[in-house]
Amino acid sequence: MSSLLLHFSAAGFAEGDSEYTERDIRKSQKEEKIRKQWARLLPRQNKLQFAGSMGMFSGSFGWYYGKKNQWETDLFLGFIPKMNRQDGHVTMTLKETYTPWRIELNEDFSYEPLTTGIYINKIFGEYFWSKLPERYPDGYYFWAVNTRFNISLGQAISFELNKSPLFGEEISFYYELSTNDLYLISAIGNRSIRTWDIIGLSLGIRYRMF
Amino acid sequence: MVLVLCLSSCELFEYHPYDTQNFKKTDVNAVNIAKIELQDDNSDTLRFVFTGDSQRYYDEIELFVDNVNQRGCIDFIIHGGDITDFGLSKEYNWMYDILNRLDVPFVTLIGNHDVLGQGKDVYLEVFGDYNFSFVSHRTRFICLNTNALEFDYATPVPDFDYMSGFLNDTNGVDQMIVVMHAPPYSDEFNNNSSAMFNYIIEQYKNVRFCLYAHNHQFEINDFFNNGIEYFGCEDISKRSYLVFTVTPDAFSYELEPF
Repeated sequence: MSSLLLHFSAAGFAEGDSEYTERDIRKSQKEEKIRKQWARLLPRQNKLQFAGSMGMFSGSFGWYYGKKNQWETDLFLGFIPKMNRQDGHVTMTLKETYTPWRIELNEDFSYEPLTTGIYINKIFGEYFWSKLPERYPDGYYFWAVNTRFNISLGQAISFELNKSPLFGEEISFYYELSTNDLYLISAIGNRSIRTWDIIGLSLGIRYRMF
Repeated sequence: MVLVLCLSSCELFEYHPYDTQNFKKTDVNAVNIAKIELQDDNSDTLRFVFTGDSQRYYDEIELFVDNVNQRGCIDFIIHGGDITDFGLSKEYNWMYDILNRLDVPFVTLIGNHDVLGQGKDVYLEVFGDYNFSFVSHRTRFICLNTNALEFDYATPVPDFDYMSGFLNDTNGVDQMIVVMHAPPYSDEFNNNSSAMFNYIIEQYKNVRFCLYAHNHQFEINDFFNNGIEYFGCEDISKRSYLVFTVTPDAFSYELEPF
């Protein structure tokens, strides 16, 4: 009776143990899968940019993806220092870049002859609203003062970091010419506003970690 | 750091469209008022041009400048405000560059569009104070910021203290002309103050008439039924401007097409 009971309980315990281990493995596999999925969302590049109507300096984290890594999405935080009559301001920018070609110059250097971008910039501050404040009659001003839609064209040169003592994938230097929605609206229909009047220049560094 | 300084001095590098730096000229109104007040104004006939609302009409304001320069026989030009549409720094620069080709001095009032974003600070930088005045041909011109909807109570609009400063203004002055962007009873004006605004103007010595822009059309109103006429000008896109000829006994105006 007692041996039967022992046998039964031992079998029961053994069965429970193997079930537990299997569950544990499944759990860690599942966990690994979830971690990997989230890991894909880890930002893989940073940018530091000077000017470009999104701050004096702005820094970003972002992603590059696509078959030939031709797409980039970056989120920038920029600042405008206090100067003249102007208070300091913080700006935020969401930017999408498309780079159709990449030319390998040699083992270390490659060249992006054309980069194209669109970006939305928001500036934070008392006088910058996105929705017409209530005191105004409907439709008094048609645009959001704090939001600018920009387009840009540029070029970049990249240096591979794989063999260098520096950690990371590559480092690039770029410049961009950009303009925004309100400048375009102003230039359209006015021959006296020339192309160079509405264009700004920016310089930047892009660092790809992995 | 030196590099940054070099870069920041270059106009191509823009930190934001509402930046308050990189202006070729500052204090434009004060500089031009000095020119106006240095003019030989011994004749008793004053002739000036009044226009306004030139926002985003760059080609048209170029034609305006050419036309006024060809015409001649004008003492100065008053722009009634709204030189920009969005209050952007570049718009201020573009409009200044064109207006600066005028052969005679010009003064520019602040319009509601010029206030937007950081535009109010750009105006202070490029043109100067929101309220200003000058004397020509023994006539006091009082130019007032009336864009109340754009400001909070920290900035008095209209500024009664400023206006009251001209109540006893008799030294070398025979008459007054009051200029503003938004007229009384418009959506932009602080209409709770209209009666007081009118009261102060009524106390002024020999007010000939008042001028305003903002409504984009030619109008003559006697807003307070007291015989003080308010003239409103068309916007620049309608290709006209007003020419006022003022003598001690009478004044006349022409709506001049260009």
